[in-house]
Amino acid sequence: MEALYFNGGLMSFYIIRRTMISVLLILVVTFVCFVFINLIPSDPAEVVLRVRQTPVVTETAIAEIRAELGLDDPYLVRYFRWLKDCIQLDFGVSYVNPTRTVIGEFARTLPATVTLALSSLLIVILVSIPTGFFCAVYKDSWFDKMARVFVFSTTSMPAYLVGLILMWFLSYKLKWLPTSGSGSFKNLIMPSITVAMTYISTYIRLIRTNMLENMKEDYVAYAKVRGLKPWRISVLHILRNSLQSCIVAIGMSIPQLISGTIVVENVFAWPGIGKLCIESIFNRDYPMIQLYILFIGILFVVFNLIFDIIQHVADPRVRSLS
Amino acid sequence: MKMSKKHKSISWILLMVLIIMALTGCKSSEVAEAKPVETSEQEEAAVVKEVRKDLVFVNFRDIRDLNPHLYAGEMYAQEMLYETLITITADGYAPALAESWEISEDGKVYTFKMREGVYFSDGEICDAYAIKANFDAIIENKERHTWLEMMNLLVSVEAPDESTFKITLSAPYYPMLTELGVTRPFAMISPKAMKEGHTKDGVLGHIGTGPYVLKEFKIDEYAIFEANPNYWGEKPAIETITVKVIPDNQTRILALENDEIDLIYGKNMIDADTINKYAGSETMEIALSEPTSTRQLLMNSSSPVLGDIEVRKAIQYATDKKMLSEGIFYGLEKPADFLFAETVPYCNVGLKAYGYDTDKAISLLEGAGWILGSDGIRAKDGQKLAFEMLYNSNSVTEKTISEYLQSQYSQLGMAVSIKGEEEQSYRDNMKAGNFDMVFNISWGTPYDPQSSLAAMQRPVYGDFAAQQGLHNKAEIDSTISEIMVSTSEEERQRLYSEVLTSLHEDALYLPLTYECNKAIYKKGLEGVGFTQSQYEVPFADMYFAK
Amino acid sequence: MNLLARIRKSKQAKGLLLFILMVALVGIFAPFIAPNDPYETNLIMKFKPFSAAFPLGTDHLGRCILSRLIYGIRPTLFLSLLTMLGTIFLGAFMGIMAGYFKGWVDEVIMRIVDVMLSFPSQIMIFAVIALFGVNMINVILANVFIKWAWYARMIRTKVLQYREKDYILYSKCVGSSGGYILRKHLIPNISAELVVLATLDIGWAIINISTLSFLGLGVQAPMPEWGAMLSEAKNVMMTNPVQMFAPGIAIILMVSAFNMLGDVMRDVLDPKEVFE
Repeated sequence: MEALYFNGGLMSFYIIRRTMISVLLILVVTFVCFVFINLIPSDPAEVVLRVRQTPVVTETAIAEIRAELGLDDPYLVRYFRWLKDCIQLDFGVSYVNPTRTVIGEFARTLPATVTLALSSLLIVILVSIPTGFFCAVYKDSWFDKMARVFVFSTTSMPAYLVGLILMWFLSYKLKWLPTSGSGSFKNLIMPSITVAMTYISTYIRLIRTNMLENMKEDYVAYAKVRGLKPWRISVLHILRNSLQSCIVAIGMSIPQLISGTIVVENVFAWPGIGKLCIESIFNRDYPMIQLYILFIGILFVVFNLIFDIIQHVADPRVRSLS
Repeated sequence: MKMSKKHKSISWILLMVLIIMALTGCKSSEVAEAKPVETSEQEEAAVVKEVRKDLVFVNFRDIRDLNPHLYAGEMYAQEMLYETLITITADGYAPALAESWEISEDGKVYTFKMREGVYFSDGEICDAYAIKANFDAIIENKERHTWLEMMNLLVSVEAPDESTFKITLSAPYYPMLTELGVTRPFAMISPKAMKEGHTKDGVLGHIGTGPYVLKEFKIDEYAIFEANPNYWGEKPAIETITVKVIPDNQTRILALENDEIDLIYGKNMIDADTINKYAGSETMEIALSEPTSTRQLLMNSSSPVLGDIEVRKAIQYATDKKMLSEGIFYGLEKPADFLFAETVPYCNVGLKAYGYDTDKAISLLEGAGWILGSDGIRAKDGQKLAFEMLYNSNSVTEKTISEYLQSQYSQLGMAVSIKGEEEQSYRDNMKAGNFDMVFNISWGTPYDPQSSLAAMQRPVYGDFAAQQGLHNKAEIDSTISEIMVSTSEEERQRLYSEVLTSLHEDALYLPLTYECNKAIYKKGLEGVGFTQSQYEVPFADMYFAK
Repeated sequence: MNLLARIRKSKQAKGLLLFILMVALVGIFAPFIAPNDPYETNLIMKFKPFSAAFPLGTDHLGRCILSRLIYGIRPTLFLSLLTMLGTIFLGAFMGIMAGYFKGWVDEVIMRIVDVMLSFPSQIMIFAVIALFGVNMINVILANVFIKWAWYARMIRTKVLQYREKDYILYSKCVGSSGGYILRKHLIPNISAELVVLATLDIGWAIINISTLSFLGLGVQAPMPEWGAMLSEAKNVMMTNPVQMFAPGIAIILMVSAFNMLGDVMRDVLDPKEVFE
C-alpha cells in the first residue's frame, strides 16, 4: 500500500511536470505564430482599410488605423493582446474574403478533415493490425514477403501519386467513384485510402516487429510449456501485448494524420483545413495560414502530452525509467 | 514481468473508443451528406415515367453573397432571383418590372410606369415605393457604383405614386437604359430584406421577384433554387435547379459523364479539348455562342519594363494569335485583333491590326535599346526584359495560354514568369495594379463599349491602374466622359474613334481571341441557348424533351 | 571502418549505385541526350502519341515528354542532393557543437531541437514557403529547416559516444586543440555513418520536393520537374490519361532506388553501428 501511494505521488509529479512543459511549448508555438504574422510584408492597417471598403487610402487614414489597432505599441504588448484575442477565439477576418472570419472558415472546414482523418485511421487499424499479426505469425511465408513488398512500395510513392493512380483506376477506368470533391460517402473513399496508405506500412512494420519481440519473451515459452495451443498464445498473449504499444503509437499519430491530409485534400479537392491552408498560401491569406499552423502545433503538443501520460500510466517499464 | 490486468483493459477500452469514434465519424457524415443525393435519386426514379423538371447545374465556385446591390455574388444566380426595371434583348430594350417608360424631350427625365400585381417572393408588393427604396439603398453606396456613368449624373429619384417612378439626370445620357438593365446594382430586392433600408452592409434575405427562389445553400457545396410559384411572367419548365460546386475541370466532365450533373455552361468552364472529345457524341450535346467578348492581356504601363511602348508593341507583333486560336481552341475562338470586335457598336473605326511578325518585334526591341545578353535575356541599362504574367487559376485555358506565350516570348529574349491565382485574389491584384501583364476580358453586351470604357476612368478593374503610366491618360479620360454625355450620333462616333485609336496605338491591350460561351449537356435537355449578357444562364428557356 | 570496401562486396549496392549514377549522368548531360528542346512548344503538335521524333509523345503544349523527363532529372535529383547536403551540414555542425562543447551550448541547441522535433515536419515546410514565398531556394531551405534537428540529435549522441573513446581522451591529454581533435578524429569517424543516413533520406527529399511542385509550391513553370509534370497530367486526365505514366513511373523508380540503396547500406554495415 505504501509503495503504491509513493508511486502515485511520483506519478502525479511526472504528470504535472510534463503538463507544464507542454504549456511552455504551446506558448512557444503561439509566439512563433505571432512572429510569423508580423514578418510578412503586408500592413495590417491597409488590410483593415480594404476590409472596410474605404475608397481612398491615405497616409492619415493608415496612421489613424495604426493607432486604433495599437500597431505602434511595443512588440510584447502586442503579443499578449494577440494572445488574449486567440484565447477568445478571435483570429480576425480573412484578407481575401473579409466577410468571412478566420475561425468561421476554420470551423466550417475542420469537420471534413476530421472525418477524413478518422476514416483513414479506421482503415489503418483494420488493415495494419491483421496484416502485421499474420506477418509475424507466419514469418517469412509468402504472405509475409508480399506484405513486405507492399510496405516497401508504398514508402516509395508520394501520397499524391497514390491518389492519382487510384483516381485513374477507380474513377476514370472503372467509373466507380467521383474523381474529387465532397458531398457523399463515395467521395470519402479514395482520399481515405490515400491518407491511410502512408501510415499502413508503418504500422504493419511496427506490429510485426513488436510481435516478433514479444514471441521471444519468457511468458510465451511458459505458455508453450503449459501446452496452450499456438493460436491461443498468438492471439491472447502476444497480440494483446503488442497492441498496447501500437495503440499508443496510433494515438500519437492522430495529429500526423490530420496534418498528413494536407496533400491528399488538395489532390481530391476535399474541402478540409488542408485545402484551405494551401489556397490561403496561394492567396497570401496570412491569418488563415497562421491559424492552421497554430492549430496543428497545439494539436501535436496536446496529443504528445496525452499519450505520454497514458503510456506512463499503462507501462510500468517506462515508469520505472523516469 | 507481467502487466496488470487493469492496464491491459485500459488499452482495450482505448482501442474500442478509437474504433467507435472512427465509425461514428464516418457514419454521421454519411447520413448528413448522403441526403441531397438520395432526394435526387428519388426524383430520377420518378422521371422514368414523366418529363424531368429538375436540373443539376455546376459551377467552379459557390454562389457567394447574392446581395443584388453589390458585386460579390455570381451573376447567373442573381439573374435567377432578381429583376430590373427593363431588360436588354437582342431586339433592344424590353419591359420587365416597368411596363413602359417615357423619356423627356431634353433627355434628362425618365418616367417609368410600374407593372401591376408584381410581388416579391416574401409577399411584399413590388411597386414604385419599393423601387424607390432600392434606389435609395443603391445611391447611399454611390462610390461603389461610379463605374456606371449615370451615377455621376443622377439628380434625384422619386415615386410620386405607387405606379410611377421618376429618375432625373443633370444631363442627357445615351446609355441610361442599358445601365438600368444590367444585373447589378439595379436589380430589385424586397424592402423587407434590407437592413432598415440599407443594403451596403449586407441583406437579411435574398428575396426578389424573379422566376426562381433560393431554397437551400451550403457554402462551397451546393445551392438549390426552386421555381417561384407567384412569378408574374411565364413560369419556367425546370422547377428545381441544383447548383453543385466542382472547382476542377476534369471532375466536372466526369460528373457529367456519370449523370451527376446535366449541364456545364460558361466561357471558362470547358476547355476546347473536351468540346473536341464530345463533338458528335451519342450522349452529349454541345452549344457554342456567337463571340461575346475579347479575351485579352492587359499590360501595365507603370511597370518598369512594359512602361516602354516599344516593348509593348514588340509583344503585339510577337504574339501568334492564329496559333492560339487553332492550337488551344481548335478554331472555336477566332483570333482577335482589336480591343472590341468590329461588330460592337461604334467600334468599326478602321484600325490597322498588329500582325504576327517576329522580325518586326525583334527590330523594335533592338531599336529601343533592348540588347540580347549572354543569358539569352534582353536588357537595357541593366534592366532585364523580365515581367510577370498573372492569370486566373479557375479558368480552364488561361494557364495553357500563359505557358505558351511564356515559351514564345522567351525565344525573343523576354523572361516571363507566370503566376496563377484563385479568382478573388486575381481580381484584387488586378484592381490594385499589382501586375505587369494580366488576363482581362472586355465585358461583352450590353456593357461594351460604353460601360467598359467608362470604367477605365476609375479603379474598377485593372484598366485604370494599367493606364496610369500613359502620357495621354488624362486626355483619354476626358474624351470618355465627353462620349457619355454627347448627344449627336456623329460626335459620339468621332469621340469613340479617338479613344479606341489612341488605346490601340498605346498598345496596352493585347487582344488574343474573341471568346464565346460554351455549353456541354446531356442529350434530352433542350432550349440551352445564350442571351445578350455573357454572364447569364437562361435557365427559364430550358426544358427536358419528352 | 571501410565503407567503400563493404559496399563493393554487395552486388545489390553496386547495382543500385550504378543505376543512380547513370540517371545522374543522363541528367548532367541532358542537352546531349534529350532528343528535343524541353521548352519548345508547338500547339499544333499537342497530345501526340509515341513517335520517332517524340519517343514518349508530347504534352499539352506540344513539348517532347521524353526530353522533359530527362531534363526533369536535374531538379528532382540535384535539388534533393542539395537538400541533403544542407541538412547534413547544418545538422552535423549543430550536433558536433552540442556534443563536443556540452554545457550551455548543448542545452540551448538541444532545446531548439526538441521544439523543432515536436512540430509536424510537413506543416513546417508549408509555413516556411508561405512566409518566404514560392521559389526553389525556399523549398530547399524549408526542407533543410525541418530535418536538421533530427540529424543534430543523432550526431550529438554519436559525438558523446566517441568523446569517451580512448584515443580522443589520449589526444586531449597530449594537448591537441579542440579544432584538431574535431577535424582529425571526430569528423572522419562520423562522416561515413552520415553518408549512409543521408542515402536513406534522399528518397524522402525527392518525395517532398516533387510533392511541393505537384501542389504548385515548388519548381515553377516552365522548368520540367516530375511532380510538376504529374500536376499538368492531372489537368488533362479525362481527355489524355496517358500523360501520367512517364513521370509517375520515373518518380517511383528513383525513390525506390534510393530507398533500396538505403536498406542495402544498412544491411551492409552492422545496423547496430548506425543506430544506437
